[in-house]
Amino acid sequence: MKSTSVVFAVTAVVSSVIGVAAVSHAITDVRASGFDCAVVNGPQATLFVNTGNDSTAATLNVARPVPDVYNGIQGISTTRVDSIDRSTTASVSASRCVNLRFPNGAVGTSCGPSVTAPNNLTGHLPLSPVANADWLPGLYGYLSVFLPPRTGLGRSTVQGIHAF
Amino acid sequence: MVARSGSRGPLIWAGLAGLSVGVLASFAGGYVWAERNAESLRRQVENSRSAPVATSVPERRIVIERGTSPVDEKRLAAIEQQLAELAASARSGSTRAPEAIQLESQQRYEARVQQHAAEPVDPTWSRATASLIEADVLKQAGNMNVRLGRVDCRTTSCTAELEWPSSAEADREYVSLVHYPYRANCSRTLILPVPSAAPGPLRAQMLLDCESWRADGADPLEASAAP
Repeated sequence: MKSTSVVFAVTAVVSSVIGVAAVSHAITDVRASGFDCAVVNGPQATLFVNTGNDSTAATLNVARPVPDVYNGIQGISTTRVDSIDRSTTASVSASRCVNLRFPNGAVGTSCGPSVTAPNNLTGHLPLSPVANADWLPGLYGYLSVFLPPRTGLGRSTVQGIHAF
Repeated sequence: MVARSGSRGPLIWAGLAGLSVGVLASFAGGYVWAERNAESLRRQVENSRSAPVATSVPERRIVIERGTSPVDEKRLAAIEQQLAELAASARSGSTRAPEAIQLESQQRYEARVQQHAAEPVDPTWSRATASLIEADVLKQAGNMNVRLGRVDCRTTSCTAELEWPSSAEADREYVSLVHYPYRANCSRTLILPVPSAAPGPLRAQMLLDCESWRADGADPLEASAAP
C-alpha cells in the first residue's frame, strides 16, 4: 500500500513538473513560415518567388517580424532562420534588428551582427543571429535575411523563422 | 513459484493514476500561469492609461571619483545610461508608454554617439576596419543614390557619413544599408533625421558598434560574391 502511494505521488509530481515546463515553454516558442517575409526593397517584390530569390543577378533582402509574446521581445533569447542555400559563390545571411523612433519623429533601424556560412556551402542552413544593445522592451523586433541570386541549383529560400 | 504479477498490478495502476493527475495538474498550472500573466498585463495597461506618462526608473548611482577630464564625464554618463537601461529592461516593456520608449531609444543612441566621439583612435584597427566598411558600403550602394562620405573608426566603433539627394531617396534606401552583412561584422544603427520642409540633400550617420566583433578577434565576415 505504501509503495503504491509512493509510486502515485512520484509519478504525479514528475509528470506535472515536466508538463508545466512544457506548457509554459510552448507559450514563448513561436514559428512563422517564410511566406510571411516581406521584401525590403519594394521594386524587388516580384523577385520573391516561393520564399526564394528568383533573380540571377541581384541579392534579395527580405524581413520577417519576430512575433513576441507576453512581455515583449526581451523575452526572446534565441532566433533562428531556417534557410536553404543553393549558391556556391555567396551565402544566405541574417541579422536581428529593431525599428527605432525618436520623440521628434526621426526614425531608424538598428541591427545586430550578421551570421552567415561559407560561400561554398549549400543545403539547409540554420542561422541564429544574436541581438544587439537595442533589443529592448517595447521595441518591434524583426529578422533581416539576404538571399543570394539563383543559380543552376535553384533559388535560395527562407523556409521560416523560429523564436524562443 | 508464486506469480508476482499480481503484486505489480496495483503499482502499475498507481503509476497510471499519478501520470493522469500530473498531466491534468500541468495543464491547470499552465493555464493559471498564463492567466496570471494576462491579468498582470491587463492591470499594467490600465495603470499606464490612467497614470501620467513618467519613467519611474529607479535611480542607481555608482560612486565614482569624478575626474576633471571631459572624457571621464562622458564615460560616466555612458555608464549611468547603461544602468538606466538595465533597470528599464527589467520591467515588462510592452505596456510602457510609447513616448517613454522613444525617449530612451534617443538617449541611448546619443550616448553611444558621444561614446564614439570620446574614443581614442587605434591606428591599425581603425585603418583596416574603415577600409572594409568603405568598400562594402560602396558595393551595397552601387545601385543606390546614396553618397558615402567619411568613415571614422576609433577603437571599438565607427561612423559612416551618408548623403542622399533627397529625404525620399534616403527613406527608400537606408534600411538596406543597415541590414547589409558587412565584413566588419559590427552592430549597425542609422537614424534618419527629420527632413526639413525645404527640398535638398539629407545627411545621416551610420553608427557601427564593433566591440563584440573586435573582442572575438575581428575576423572579417566572408565576402559574398553577389552584389
